[in-house]
Amino acid sequence: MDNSNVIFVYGGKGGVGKSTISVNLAYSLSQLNFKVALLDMDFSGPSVPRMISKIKKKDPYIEGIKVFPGQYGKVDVLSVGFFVDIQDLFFLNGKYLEGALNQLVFNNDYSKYDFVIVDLPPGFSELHRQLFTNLKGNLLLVSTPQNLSYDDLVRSVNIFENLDLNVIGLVENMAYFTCSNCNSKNNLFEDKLYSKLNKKIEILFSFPYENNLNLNNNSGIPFVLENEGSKINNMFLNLSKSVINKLDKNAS
Amino acid sequence: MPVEEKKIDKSIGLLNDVEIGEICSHYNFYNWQIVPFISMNNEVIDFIRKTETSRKLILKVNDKVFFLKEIPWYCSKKDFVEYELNFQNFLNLNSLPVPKIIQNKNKKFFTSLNYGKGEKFYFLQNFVFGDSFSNKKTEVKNSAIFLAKFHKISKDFDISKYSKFEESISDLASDMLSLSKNTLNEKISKTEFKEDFNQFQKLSKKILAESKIKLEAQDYFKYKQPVHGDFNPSNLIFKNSKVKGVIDFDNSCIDNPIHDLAEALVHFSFLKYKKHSSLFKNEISSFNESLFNEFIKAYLDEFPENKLIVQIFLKDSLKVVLIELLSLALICGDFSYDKISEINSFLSSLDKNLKFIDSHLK
Repeated sequence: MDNSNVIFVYGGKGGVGKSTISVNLAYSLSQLNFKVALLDMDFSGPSVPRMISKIKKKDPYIEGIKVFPGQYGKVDVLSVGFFVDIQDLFFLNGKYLEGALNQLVFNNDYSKYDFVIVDLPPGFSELHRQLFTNLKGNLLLVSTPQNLSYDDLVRSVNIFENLDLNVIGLVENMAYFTCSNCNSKNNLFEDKLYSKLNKKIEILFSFPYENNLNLNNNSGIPFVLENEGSKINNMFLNLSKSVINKLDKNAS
Repeated sequence: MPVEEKKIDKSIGLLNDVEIGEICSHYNFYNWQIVPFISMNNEVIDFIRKTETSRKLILKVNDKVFFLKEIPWYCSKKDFVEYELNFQNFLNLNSLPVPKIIQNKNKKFFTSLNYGKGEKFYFLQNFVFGDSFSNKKTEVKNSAIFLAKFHKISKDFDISKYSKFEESISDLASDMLSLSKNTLNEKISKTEFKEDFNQFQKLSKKILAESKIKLEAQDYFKYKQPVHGDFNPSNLIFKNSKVKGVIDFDNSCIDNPIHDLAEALVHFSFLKYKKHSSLFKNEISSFNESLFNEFIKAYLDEFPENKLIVQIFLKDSLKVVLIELLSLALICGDFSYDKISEINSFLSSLDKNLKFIDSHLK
């Protein structure tokens, strides 16, 4: 199975904004007219459903025992949060997890999509192991520019290389904010971290801390759709183009 | 099985990989996968969470899809399991929509595990894809037709070895009523509903005693045969309103078939179900006469020979079943304690509430 269209969005720590990045990256790729699928694989706390609830066109469905994504705007989305209540969630492991992933991911044909964005939970658990060993894909790392996050990432990159996964690059999130009074750019974190990253990790884009972007996560419409043409939307479009370039370069 | 041991455990947990692996090895299945999600009524649901009474799951083995079930502990005795599964197999062989049971490598219908906490029994049957009951009149009618065919065919099952599983609906209800008292008395006596509950026990006991006398005075056990024992919408699988599968024979016993008919009528035309669940809605109202009539007419059209049984036993059996199911609902917490006074009102005017069935008793 050709998996070069798979992009795992991974961030070692929670709260770095992976799901926000995943969702808005998926929808900005669709703004560039690519066919995109978004898989929310955070079984312990699926956050994607509430970010897209208002743009549903079609529910996910089953044929036999294969589960197919629902249509949310121009992106096909699958999240376990669609059919399991948050309060009923428990930690799937072993053969139950494998069975769930078979139904949701491994037994399906995602080759018809230009891009499959896979939003991963933080940390490194059996879910990650099962996904990485069954779906060969590319890794997009997400981090906030602080010491602990970066240390985590460097550790993770070594694991990914052992698994033969291609690391596209790093997206820095909440790297700076722009003062509403004087428009000056202020770094949120003081550390000089770039020396920690080895030359294999390239920073693809730095996103500011944007209050609206954070609040928007519960609005049910992805930020880039609701604020089409905005500065942030353009940033995501630029990120999309960087990702596309890196993947094309890799394919050759 | 003795009702006094039967309990509904909602925090039942899951079968673990080791248990499933060992069970599968008893069937020579080595390439198995769990199927956690299925489709019901056009919705994707998480099947595992749906289980409320015993551990079960869906398995995919190569290209086939099976349903694996652990026999609930309240009927987990070898001789009963043999009866239950032999009976289910007999029904399948006689072309009823009852799933086929898969034989293990020793040609038995069930297997067992013992990890030191007692022997537990498991069986596998073909998984039936379909939808759950959606309150359609045609579904009610087809359920009744199935029940009639089921009663006809069950009469031919050899029960000579199974006399120990004879149990009358009266005794069942009586045990359920006692169980409700033992389980709930202490809790309710600390609330404002103490008197209501005492009244419920008193009313129910009286009704049960009177009904039992009437039933047994009419040669109740003369008509005994294997019955389903829990014939209700949540044990039925539909496709295009037709009955595609009937499951769960854990409550099967040897009894007068009025047992199934009375329970079915209460389930289909009196109690209301929560979605995708075997739990009842917290509502007491009256019988839906149109559904009641729909069911009983379809049943008797299919099996007119049972008209006599209906005439003699239906009214008293309905009273008994109402008490059985209301007690069970209280035990499971389907009804809140404030509903007990409504239950008492209903039971106090039971004859009036059941007057509408007289037309069927002629």
